[in-house]
Amino acid sequence: MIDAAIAGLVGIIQWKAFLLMMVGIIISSTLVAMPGIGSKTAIALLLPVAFVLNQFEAICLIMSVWAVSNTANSITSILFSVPGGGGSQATIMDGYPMAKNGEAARALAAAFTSSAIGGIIGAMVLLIAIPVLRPLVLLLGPPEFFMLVMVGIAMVGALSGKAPVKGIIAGGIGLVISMAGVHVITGLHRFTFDQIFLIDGFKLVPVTIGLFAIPELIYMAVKGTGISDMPLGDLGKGRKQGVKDAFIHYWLVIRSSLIGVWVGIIPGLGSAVADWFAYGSAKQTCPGARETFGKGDVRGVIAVDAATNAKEGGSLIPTLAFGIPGSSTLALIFGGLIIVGVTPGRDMLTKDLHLTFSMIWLLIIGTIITSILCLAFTRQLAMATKLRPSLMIPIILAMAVIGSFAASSRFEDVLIMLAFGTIGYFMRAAGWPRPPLLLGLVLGPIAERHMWTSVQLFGADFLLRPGVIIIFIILLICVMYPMFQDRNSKLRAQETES
Amino acid sequence: MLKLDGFNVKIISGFSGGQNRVLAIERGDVHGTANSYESTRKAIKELGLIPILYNGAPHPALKVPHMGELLSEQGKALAALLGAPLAAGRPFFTTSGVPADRLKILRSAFKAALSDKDLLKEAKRAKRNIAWTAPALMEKINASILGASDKVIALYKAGAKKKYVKHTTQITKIKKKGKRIYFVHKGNEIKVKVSGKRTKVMIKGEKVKRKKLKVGMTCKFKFPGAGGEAKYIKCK
Repeated sequence: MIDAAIAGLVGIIQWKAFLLMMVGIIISSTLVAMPGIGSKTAIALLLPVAFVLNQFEAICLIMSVWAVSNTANSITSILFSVPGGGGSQATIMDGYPMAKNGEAARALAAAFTSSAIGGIIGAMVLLIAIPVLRPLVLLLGPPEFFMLVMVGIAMVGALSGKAPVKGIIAGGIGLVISMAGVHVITGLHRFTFDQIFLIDGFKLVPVTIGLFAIPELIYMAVKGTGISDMPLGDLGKGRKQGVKDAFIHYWLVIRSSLIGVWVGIIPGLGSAVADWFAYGSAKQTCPGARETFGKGDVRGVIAVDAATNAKEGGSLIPTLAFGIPGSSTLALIFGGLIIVGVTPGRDMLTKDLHLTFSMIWLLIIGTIITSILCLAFTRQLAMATKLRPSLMIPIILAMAVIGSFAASSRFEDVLIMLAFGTIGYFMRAAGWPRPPLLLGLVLGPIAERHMWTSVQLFGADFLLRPGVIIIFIILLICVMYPMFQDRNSKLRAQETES
Repeated sequence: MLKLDGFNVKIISGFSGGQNRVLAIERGDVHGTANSYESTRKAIKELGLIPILYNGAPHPALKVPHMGELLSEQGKALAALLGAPLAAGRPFFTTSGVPADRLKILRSAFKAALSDKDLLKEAKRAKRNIAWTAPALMEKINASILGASDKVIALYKAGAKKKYVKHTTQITKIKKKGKRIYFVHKGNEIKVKVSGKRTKVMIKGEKVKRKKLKVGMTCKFKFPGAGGEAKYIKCK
């Protein structure tokens, strides 16, 4: 195993492979960080180049684009409330308020640092899991996956802030919206209203941009000031503080990273779920988070970015062990890597173990380099929050339109973005939480597919499987813990008063 | 196809992709799957999966019966139709009306390309199987697909399409301005959905809007089952 680890490291630090990794990192931190231009697009464009490379070089070029894409994705989320990708939606929740409070440099630095640590933790978990990869994945069938998704749905309560009823309703609306399109089991069309573009359902990117970016644009236009009307202060100091924050809250980073890894292991969940799970969990467990989250708490940024980067390590577990891609991007990556002889499956854990190690090293080295590169530009990026609205609004609006369109190259998605922008504006104005709606939209189809498959396999008895019961107990703890916390803090407050 | 011939099989849907199906077998959730041989070869070797039947073209490595051997005449015809595209692999076509001499050049060039050393080297690196099928055999396969009898095509469509029930009875209840119609079927009162666009509603041979339906009318219903959307409602 040590030989394979050394061979993997030597393979990716050869000058050509390393240079290609740097190319991948730069593409990922610039183009892929723009809303709508996901890592999938960049990888599809690079695949023909990979065909003429050797295995290590191809891994360095293709996988580096994917491995670090979540790091730079946070830039537009924090600065403009426009998510750079599926994994940076929840970064908006506290990152954007921080930018508004003049703490953009701190938020960016905290995001980049926690991304690096999360990436390393994800890679380490993958490393530790190698001997038990297959039994670990075999433990989880459709019933367990269904219950794991239910744990995520239970996050709705945490993401609802002080309006749980509104949150539950918003989550329910999200679930209904997620039903639009082809039913995963029967193939029947639901809520498509004979519109071809609705057959694929509502895409996450236009809905997220609409719900979060458009309301902010409207508020910015009404206020007539830039993103932040607070003084930026010492940007260097802010950056230093952001880096420090990630280390001060090390336990939160570890917890969130493990959540990210767990989400990664479940095929089909992806970054768009990992960020909300981590955010919801942080809100439930961090002291005083219920009062400060959503208003510019750095812990909200740290939790999300650690989880989304750690997720990549986790998603390699089912891919390497069974050849089941953890996401559509991984399917594309391994579809391409097969051409150079990298075949996911058992061989990756035996005779091709050095290739698996090269991927682990790449996750570690790639995230560290990307974070250092991004940190170097934090000051310049933070200054964007001081641009006047007459400049900012057209830029952000253009990003929102391009981002919505580029996700599927459909004009209808721009209309969906505008429609959800209107909905988002009224939700924000009326104090309705928007994250539960997104969570419902993301988790609805996954929960439905696993539920129906479980019912076909075991009938209602699937609920009595030991794994399902254990996960259900975890779910109950997730739901009950904040209630106990609230009760205890109330009791403590009463004791102090008396 | 097996179900149609009375075999005791239960189809479980929801596993996306061949690898997920193999994993479900390994986990013991399901007992089998249908997949292309090339995609399953690795699982057969590593997990010891046992091929039972095949459809399409015979494979030298598979010593199992063709599924048509176990089926009725009707099942055999259907298996042949479903298996023909499998036997064709990934066909390459040109447009109709290409002169015979050019067609000959194209075919020989294609055959030569498939034995190109560099291509075979690339295929070996990517662990891809390359095989060539003679044009005469391709034409035979093509003819067998296009020449399928109407009965077989109907069977194929029946397998892919929704099954409808026809029933004539009186309307017992109407809700939502004709969007939901209730009637008695097999002793139970059931409802069907009536779409303004897709359900054909007729009274005395004339096409009418759904709100014209009244309780007590005797109508012929074509519907997929209780709660489903009616294909047509023809009333006297």
